[in-house]
Amino acid sequence: MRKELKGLVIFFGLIFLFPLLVKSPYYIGVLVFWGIYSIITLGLTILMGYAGQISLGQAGFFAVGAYTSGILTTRFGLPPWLGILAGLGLSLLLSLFLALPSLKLKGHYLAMATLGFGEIVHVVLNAWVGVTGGPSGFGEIPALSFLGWKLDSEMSFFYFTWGWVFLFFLFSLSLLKSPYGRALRSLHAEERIPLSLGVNVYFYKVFAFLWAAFYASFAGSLYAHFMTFLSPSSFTLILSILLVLMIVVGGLGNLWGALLGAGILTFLPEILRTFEDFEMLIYGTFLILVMIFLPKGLVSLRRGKVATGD
Amino acid sequence: MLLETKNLTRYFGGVKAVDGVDIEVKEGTIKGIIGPNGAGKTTFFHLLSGHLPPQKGWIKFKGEIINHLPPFERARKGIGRVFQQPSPFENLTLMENILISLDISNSPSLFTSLLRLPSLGKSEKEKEKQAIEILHFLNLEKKLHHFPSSLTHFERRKMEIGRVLALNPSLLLLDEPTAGLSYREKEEIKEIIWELKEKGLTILVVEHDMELITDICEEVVVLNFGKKIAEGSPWEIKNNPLVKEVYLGEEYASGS
Amino acid sequence: MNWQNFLQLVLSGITIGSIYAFIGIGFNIIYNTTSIINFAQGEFVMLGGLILYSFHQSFHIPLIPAILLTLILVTLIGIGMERLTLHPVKNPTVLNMIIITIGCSIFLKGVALSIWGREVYHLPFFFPRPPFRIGGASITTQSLVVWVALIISSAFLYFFYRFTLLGKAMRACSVNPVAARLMGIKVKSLITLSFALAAFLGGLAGVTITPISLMDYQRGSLLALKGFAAAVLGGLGKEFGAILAGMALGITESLVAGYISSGYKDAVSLLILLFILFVRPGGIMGSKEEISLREL
Repeated sequence: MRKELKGLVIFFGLIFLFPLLVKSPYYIGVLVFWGIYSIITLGLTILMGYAGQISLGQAGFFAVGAYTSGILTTRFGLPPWLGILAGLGLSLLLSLFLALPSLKLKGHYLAMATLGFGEIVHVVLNAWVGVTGGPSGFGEIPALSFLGWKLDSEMSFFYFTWGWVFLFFLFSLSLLKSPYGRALRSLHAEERIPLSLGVNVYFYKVFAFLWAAFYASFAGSLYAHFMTFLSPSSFTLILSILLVLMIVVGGLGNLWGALLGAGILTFLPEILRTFEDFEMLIYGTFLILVMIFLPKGLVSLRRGKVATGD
Repeated sequence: MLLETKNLTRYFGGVKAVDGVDIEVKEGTIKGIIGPNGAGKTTFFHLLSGHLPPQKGWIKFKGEIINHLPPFERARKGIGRVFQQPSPFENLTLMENILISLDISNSPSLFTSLLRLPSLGKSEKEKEKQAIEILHFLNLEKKLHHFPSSLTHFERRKMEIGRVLALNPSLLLLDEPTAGLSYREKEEIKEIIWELKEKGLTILVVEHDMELITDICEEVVVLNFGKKIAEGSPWEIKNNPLVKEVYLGEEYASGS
Repeated sequence: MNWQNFLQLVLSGITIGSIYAFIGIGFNIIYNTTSIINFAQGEFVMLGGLILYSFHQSFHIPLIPAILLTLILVTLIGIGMERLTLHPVKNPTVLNMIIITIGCSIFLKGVALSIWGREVYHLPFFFPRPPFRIGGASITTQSLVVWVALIISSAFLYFFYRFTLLGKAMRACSVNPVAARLMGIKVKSLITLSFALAAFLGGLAGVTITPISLMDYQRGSLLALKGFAAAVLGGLGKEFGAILAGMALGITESLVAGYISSGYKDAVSLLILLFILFVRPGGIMGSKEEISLREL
């Protein structure tokens, strides 16, 4: 734990220094997105990298967090914190509904079920015009305030978001370094083995689902209050796939990999934007090359053990 | 009776893998299960550990029918199973492999774990001490922080026994514990089994090695095509004509 | 309820269902030899439609040779994709392979975008005749083309798998790749063959559906999603399960769009899909016994 804390302090120290060096709101904005995606991947890597379950519907929980807190604060004038809590509650409930029957499913069938969930959320966002504003979405979502400090600039939101990334990193790390984390890591083996040792595999699978949904939903609420505008096009299957790519490109089952992957796949499209129509060509080639030459993700570039990697 | 089965039956399609098997295992004894390949020994273990549901019959453990219990609850009730294929958790160290089963009976709340309250450290220390004791018993204490991939086949075998012992079981199911081991390694396993028996453990063991069976078992059950065809002391079994027929083929039985 | 209207909805459901079936079969062919899901399956469909457009409309090649050339080209793209990206991977894990196919899907979309741009392309019907009328509903000639293409290619596949040595080798490979290799079957070549077959079928689907539903560089993904649903619903690895499931999906969608709301059409078919998955985890054609055996 101590070794990881050192790495954490250095990494977050550099991140927190960034806005002092680069004052461009554009770059700070990109970093906010990196932070928001990192929160999702730090949860998702617990589900995919440790519990060995796949989710292609994480954009669904991201959307539930964003829309719940967006709608409650904008249309019903609720304080943003209540909106975020409501989003978390709804996401946990939905993930429980999804996780319980999913216990029976494996591999591609599970992928399909989660993908179906994400798509259903997307369709509802489009079709339930009265509440969600339909395809054109809705705006004027109030900004968050924190200890009387209104988070309406890129800079303030940057510190707020990365503060949460730090906390969520610590939570995931603590989880992995506890008996719960050990049990989660044991799920990577064939199911019969942990089962024969008294590990309630079903509980841990559901638990990992809820954990990942919680993170995604929280990130969604942050997103809503940062963008102050929501439309269904931000919550597609493409995003769900992108989130999985972040984890795999960074390094599956490694918290640093989750951060790194989220960073690279947030920055890459921004850089490629200058190539316009060739963006996708380069992006696809990048993914293929990483998977062929670094199948364990980019963290494997660094030798030795990194954080809680195995 | 610690363990009892009655008319236990499991089909795969039309094949009867386990066919109406009754056995009784008394507390503190070692019982062997033998039979040719495909006789249903491993399937029988699957039924006992709960990895497969039976189609007919029941299993009674400590006087209670356990048919409906999932594998992890049977493990918590005291049925510890060591699989035939060594299957350690490759991403966990030897110590952590043992801790997994110790966590079952001694784990602080999620809240305590996430906030890393002092009681987490205390329970971790306790469990580590227990794990070291178990590894010491198995002569593995030098490899505490190794990953399973750096262990020998024999060490992996022992590690799995240790993992199950950490559950503090009352019944141990061993599936061919000495397969693929050298003579000296076999002797060590034999000694471990004897010591466990002395500690009061009840053991059910599937084995091909008749010598091992004779050395450690009080009673032997013979399965063939899923059916129990004989039961008795190792000596009785060795001289049972039906068992000879099964093992040596019909030529021998017809007396040619 | 209006009978003619109902029949019309069912008929158009069968046509779109045929396309899902085509894609579902493609998924299954590759799944059977590699146990991965090829996320670029939809791009084969997209390429089929767009390449045919270029050959036929831009280069003015007559229809039949243009179709043949298109199918050959799409098949070669499928082979190239497997040889260049999946083949070189040394210790493949299922997840890595899937990500590679996602990379290929994005790459092929990128290629299509740089060649054809963002426009939506249209092709004329292969047989410009007025629609047939059955019981008050009408069937376009192009729908018939889609149906016939599906029937012929599934019959071909059936004979291929049952009666040819190569087809039997592919089935053996799907049951137990290690044993297949020990028996002298070249598993790696079969994997390439399966990509060729899947790409061919995808291309055929694209060629036949484009006159009905139009085509652009990103239309493949949504079709692939539904095709994937059909494959899973029919039981992964069961080629002919996908046909039934694809039809069921197509008809359901069409009826929901017609009677409830086209906005919710995708949600309803997906909800049905989720429900079936939860009730029958092996798909509608999969047996429960098989599942529990595979787990051990």
